[in-house]
Amino acid sequence: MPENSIFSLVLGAILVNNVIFARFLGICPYLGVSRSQETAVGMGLAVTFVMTLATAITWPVQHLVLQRIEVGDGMNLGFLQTIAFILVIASLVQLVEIVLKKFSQKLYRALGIYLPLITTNCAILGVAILCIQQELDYLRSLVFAFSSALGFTLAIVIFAGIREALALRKVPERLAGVPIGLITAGILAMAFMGFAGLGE
Amino acid sequence: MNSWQNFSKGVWKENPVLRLLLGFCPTLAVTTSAVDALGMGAATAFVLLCSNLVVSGIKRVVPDQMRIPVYIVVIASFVTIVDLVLQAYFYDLSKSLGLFIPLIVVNCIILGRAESFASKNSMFQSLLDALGMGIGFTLALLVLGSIREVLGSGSIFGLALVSAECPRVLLFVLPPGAFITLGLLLWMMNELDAWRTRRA
Amino acid sequence: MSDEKVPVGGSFTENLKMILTVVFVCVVSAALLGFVYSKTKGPIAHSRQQELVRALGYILPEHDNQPVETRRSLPAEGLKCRRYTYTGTRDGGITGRALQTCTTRGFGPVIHLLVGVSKEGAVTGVYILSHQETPGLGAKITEEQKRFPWWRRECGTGGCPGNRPFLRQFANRRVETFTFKVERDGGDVAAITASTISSRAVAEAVREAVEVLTGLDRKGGGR
Repeated sequence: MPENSIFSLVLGAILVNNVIFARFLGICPYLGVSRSQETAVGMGLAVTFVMTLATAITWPVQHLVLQRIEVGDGMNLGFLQTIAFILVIASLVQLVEIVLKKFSQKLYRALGIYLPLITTNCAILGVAILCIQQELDYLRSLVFAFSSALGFTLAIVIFAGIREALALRKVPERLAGVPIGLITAGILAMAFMGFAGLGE
Repeated sequence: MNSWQNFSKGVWKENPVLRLLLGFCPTLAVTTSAVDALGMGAATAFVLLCSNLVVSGIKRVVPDQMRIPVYIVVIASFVTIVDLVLQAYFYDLSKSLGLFIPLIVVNCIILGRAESFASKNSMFQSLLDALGMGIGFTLALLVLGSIREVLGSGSIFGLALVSAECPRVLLFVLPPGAFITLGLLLWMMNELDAWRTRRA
Repeated sequence: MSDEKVPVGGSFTENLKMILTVVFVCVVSAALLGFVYSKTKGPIAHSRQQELVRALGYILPEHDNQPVETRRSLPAEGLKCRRYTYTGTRDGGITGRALQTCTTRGFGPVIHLLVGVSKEGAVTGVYILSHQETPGLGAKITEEQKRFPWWRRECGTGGCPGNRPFLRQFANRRVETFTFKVERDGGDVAAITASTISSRAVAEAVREAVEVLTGLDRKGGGR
């Protein structure tokens, strides 16, 4: 298949360079919100929504604002990227929470509780920055963000399933909780490494 | 608690990574070598120090509802300063740490300490808290980074420890190794605790 | 971000105070950052260029000029980067050229590299400026063989440039006697185990660079 095709971008973001297992983004919610598959799915959906929307806004901010405004000889406002992006994300999350509360009580009950956690989810900011670093155009950035979020959801749902099963077993007390969770994540990461070379 | 306890709690008893279980993303991502670990620890500690001081300094002036966005702006500013300084004077380090320097802004430790401690305590105590937490964070990273570098690359701080023919356990510098090593480390901390309580 | 909400309504002065505080903090931050940026702008550009200077010094044959100053652009349609050539001269005569180019055929998005070719058409060095290949696999294209034991350091803290086994194999190779393809494709380049894609990308990039640079010499030197 042609290199740089959208398909290989999607496959890459979900499986090969999975946001959690390969890029180490979004570990905190990954460990924190994965005790049951239901909450995992909820978190995954919330992240997918916010991540795509965040990239949809931060990309134009970078390319149409920060890189266009000249400041002194030949330099632009690129150095304000971190501040601008995190403010966009934080505001976005606040806005989404307000909108959800007002217009869809059902959705709010399902996703709303995860939203505050998402602001400090390094995956959102991380993916937004990656789109810029990898010099993707607008369409590819959106696809990349969406796919990365799908990869996150996949990872968290699989993990939740394993954790639910673990909870039914007798795990040595001092290994239980986060330690065994991390080791499980490591084994899952090994499994995902098997995808290397896919989509080429 | 007195000032000394305030400082020392961050180093061991309430170590942000190993006890409070915060800040896993950079911990897993940049500890492939001891030097990177040290660099990241120092950068994060610097941001933590400055943001704690500033947040504590302006705590009376900031209206309650606006405090999170204001803290975020403060933290993001210091992160940007660190980013620029690293690019200017420690170029190789900034390339190794890459994406994770701007991600310091969403490191739960920094916003966490600002929100839970600095906004409620004096500047001096906030300074001690930040120092303790910063040192604790750096130490945790250093331990993890050293283990992974020694086992995975056969070197420490860039200096070779074994000959080129000696096989290295590559897994440790790859993503799975990060998860597994941290998991095992946390398990050992729990075992250590249990052993101490048995002795007492 | 918790469940506190901005109260709808609220006194005008309260809201005004809130907005003013935020604005004030933002302005102060922006000013501070602007200051730091103006001070670090120079050193950052310098650091970025230093790597290039070092790399050129290493991969070009003996020269007594500053190759960085001889930068010339080449057309780069369809490429993800701009291409530049640098020339090394000694006593006014050209000793070699380097091409700065990139390839997207590796495993990661793009590999930026510098290829040095002597006047006689032999590769004098390959330097990878940046890549995003898989650690432990494709990333081995830049792997160094660390010196052991470490106290026998002959090359200083920067490490020995010639210590990168994968790139070292390109040294002194000519198109006439060396096929710049990985062994799996019938060539002479020893690929990195389990990283054929990354190895192939680099091999092809080097071959193309040699063709471009020797072509320039035939046309009588640069654009």
